[in-house]
Amino acid sequence: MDKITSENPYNTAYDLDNCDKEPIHIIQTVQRFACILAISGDDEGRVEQVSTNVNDFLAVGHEEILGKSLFNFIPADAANRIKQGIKSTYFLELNPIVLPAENQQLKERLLSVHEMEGQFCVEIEYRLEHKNELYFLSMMDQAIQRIQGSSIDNNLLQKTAEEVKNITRYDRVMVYQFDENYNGHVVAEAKEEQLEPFLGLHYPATDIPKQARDLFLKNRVRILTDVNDDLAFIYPTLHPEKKIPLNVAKSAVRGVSPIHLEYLRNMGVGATLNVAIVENGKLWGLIACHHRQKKVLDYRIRSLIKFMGTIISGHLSLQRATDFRKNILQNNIIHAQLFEHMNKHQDIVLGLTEGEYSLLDYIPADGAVIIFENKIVSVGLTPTEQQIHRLEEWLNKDDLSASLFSTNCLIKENPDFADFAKDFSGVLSVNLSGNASEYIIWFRQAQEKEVTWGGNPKEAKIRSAETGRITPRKSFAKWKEVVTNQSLPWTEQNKDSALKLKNDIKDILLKRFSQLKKLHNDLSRSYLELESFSYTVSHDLRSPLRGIEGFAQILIEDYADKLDEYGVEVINTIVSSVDKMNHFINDILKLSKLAKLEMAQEEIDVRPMLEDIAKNYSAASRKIQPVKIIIEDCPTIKGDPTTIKQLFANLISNAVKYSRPIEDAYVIIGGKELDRKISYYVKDNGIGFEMEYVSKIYEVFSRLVAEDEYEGTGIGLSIVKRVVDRHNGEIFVDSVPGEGTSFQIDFPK
Amino acid sequence: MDFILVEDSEVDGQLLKRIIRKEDLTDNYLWMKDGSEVLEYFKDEKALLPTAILLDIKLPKVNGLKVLKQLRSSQRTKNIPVVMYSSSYRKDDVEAAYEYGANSYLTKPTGFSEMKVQFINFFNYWIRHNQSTLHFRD
Repeated sequence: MDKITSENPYNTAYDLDNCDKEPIHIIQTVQRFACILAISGDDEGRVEQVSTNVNDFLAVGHEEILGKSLFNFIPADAANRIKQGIKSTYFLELNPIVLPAENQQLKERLLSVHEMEGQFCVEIEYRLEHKNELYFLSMMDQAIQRIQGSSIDNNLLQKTAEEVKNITRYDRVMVYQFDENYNGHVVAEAKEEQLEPFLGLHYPATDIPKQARDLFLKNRVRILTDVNDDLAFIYPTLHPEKKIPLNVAKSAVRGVSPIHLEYLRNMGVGATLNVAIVENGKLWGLIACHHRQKKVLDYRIRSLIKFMGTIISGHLSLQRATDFRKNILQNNIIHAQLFEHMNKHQDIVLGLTEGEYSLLDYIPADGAVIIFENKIVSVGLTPTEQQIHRLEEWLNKDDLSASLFSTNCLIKENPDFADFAKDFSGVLSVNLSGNASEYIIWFRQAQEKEVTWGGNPKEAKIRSAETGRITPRKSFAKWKEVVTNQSLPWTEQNKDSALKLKNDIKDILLKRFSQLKKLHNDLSRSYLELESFSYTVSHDLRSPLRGIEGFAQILIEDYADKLDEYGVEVINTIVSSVDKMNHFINDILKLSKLAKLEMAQEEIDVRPMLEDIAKNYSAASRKIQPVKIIIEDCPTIKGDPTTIKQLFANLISNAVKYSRPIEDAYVIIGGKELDRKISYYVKDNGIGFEMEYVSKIYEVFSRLVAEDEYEGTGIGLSIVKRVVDRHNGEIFVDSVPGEGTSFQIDFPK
Repeated sequence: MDFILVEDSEVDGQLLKRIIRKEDLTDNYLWMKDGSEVLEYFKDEKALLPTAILLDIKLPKVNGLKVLKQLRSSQRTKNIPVVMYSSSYRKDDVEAAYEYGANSYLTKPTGFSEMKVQFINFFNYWIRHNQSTLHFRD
């Protein structure tokens, strides 16, 4: 086994080439400003291992004290207190124990105890600060008040740096924050004026390797008093019975890795103090103090700074939690609005793009597209449709469609997208329906940013030509790196939001599916109805018609010579009316057959059509009750002439039918041209109906009046409704019993 | 007896009556307005059998297809030629009629003149022609 030296302070075969594996928790060196004694966990307090510098603190050499009770070398009351602590393994209230000065030369010493893996470590150092407890308390109180007076994140950290510098008098105090990869970033700094600022600089994760970061969670304060220290060693290097090296993970005074010392020397630093800032059990960052010369900081002041670190940790956790809740709340509001909007419109795309909030409010992004039912709808800034199609195909093919895909550097995922991935580096996509090719995709633009490193991070560790082992970099000159092709990363909350939206859309699609199914069933039923309706037409309407025509023929055959001119005209009107009626029936049959076919789209001159219809009534009603038919303005409409004529014939016949019993009955027909539609009206002053039956009037074969009172088959208005629907128009009706009925028919222009 | 006309429509019946009278076809026929009348008539074993029956399908109480089924199930009436006479051109109706044993199926025409021609043809073939061919039923 190699001899323990400050260049090789470990009692294990350790390859210094691999600094990530450097076992710093069992470093066998101790800084000169303090000594360590490992004692047995019983009343005897037998010294099992000890640092070689023990003689600087107790009147005994390290070889001499080994195997003897520590209690023989310290005052009895201190010994008793240690024994107490060992029994309860609770030292927090105990530390530090003051050992009085033993003669004029020596000063008061501070002794502290901690437990590690069943061993009890006693550390002794000199007391440097003689002010009383109250002084420290009030100093701390003032500092914390000043820190807490600042509410904004960054200001808080700056104030912290300033207060720590004020208390500790280090040359430079930085607040150092880790990113997700543990690269460090100086976010606040208080320093002596003549020093070069480090604020804003980045340091690679390798500068503080993982095992060093882990140790900060165990012992939140770490002091290094002198980078050129002549380190003491732990003796013997292995525990006499357990045969393992002493674990110094919790020791604040343990020696320092030779690589780290070299790093600091290269940086021109003489002494350091680091205090961990922990948030949610993770190392958030450090309060890092640097001094150009060597510097020992009193135990109590170290405790104060540690306490400050704890306060900052709490502050950050609280702020993070508040921000998170605020975000979640805001996000929930937007989410609820989007959902409501989608539900109200029964349209996913409209709901997500046209409402008060859009997809871009829901998940902050520069643009988004919805690929749904073979359509692409985009909001904000997005790649071209053709580029989106390529992205979509790739998502399909690569089985990324399953759930959620996200990247903040698209070009790294697929170099084929170089044409747009440079601009749209951030992509977050969710598959909507389980089918490939239905997605919502959010885009974030690339943010070109300049990162300034404290030295080139790629040269953070170099191999020394002389020793052949890894050494830290010598240059800390600012090194600028330009980061391209990267967007802001998508947070876990962003991804959760996307998945939540996807689930909502699934629900809405499911609901819409069942609505469509119901609609389909309703339609099937009305087609059946239509078929039975056309049968009834052919059977029942043709029979009376045959009678009319037959008897009119008989009249001509048998009585033509006995009739005057008017009589013959009447009979001819009957025959021609029947002829028209037959055409009409054929038209209806055609309609029922053509229900699924396209309607013609012709310009229709409505006036002659209405006059033709009205003529039938003037001839027919001449001898019964007269109904005046008034035709007003008649703008042309676009549509299918046969069915439009039928529509008016039905409405007029309906109006005439229910107006006939009224004295001075009239029917007014006309239309006006509006912005986007042609609006016709058919008004009568007939018997009217209760509006509560309005939904029944368009149903086939439904009648609101008794059959013997008013002739008719009850199909007229259902045909009207069908014709209006087939022309993408709308029909409205307003009726007051005893006053009349008014239909409004809107045709699209 | 020449034939029984089964027709519920007063109008159609009157028109046919007029054709028969005007064309001087026969006086020897019965006009019944429902299927129930037909069934009632044949209950009497001494009832005269017509040379043919002109039978509407849509009738108020007992429809034409039911009447046809009844006629075909009785030894006495199963060989009487039955010609269906209906406004319905529905495939279902036509097929059902032949399945039940109709001898022919006439769709009522739209106009009076076609009606006249159609009826005269019916009469000449199913009544006069059948009467001139020898005993086709037992």
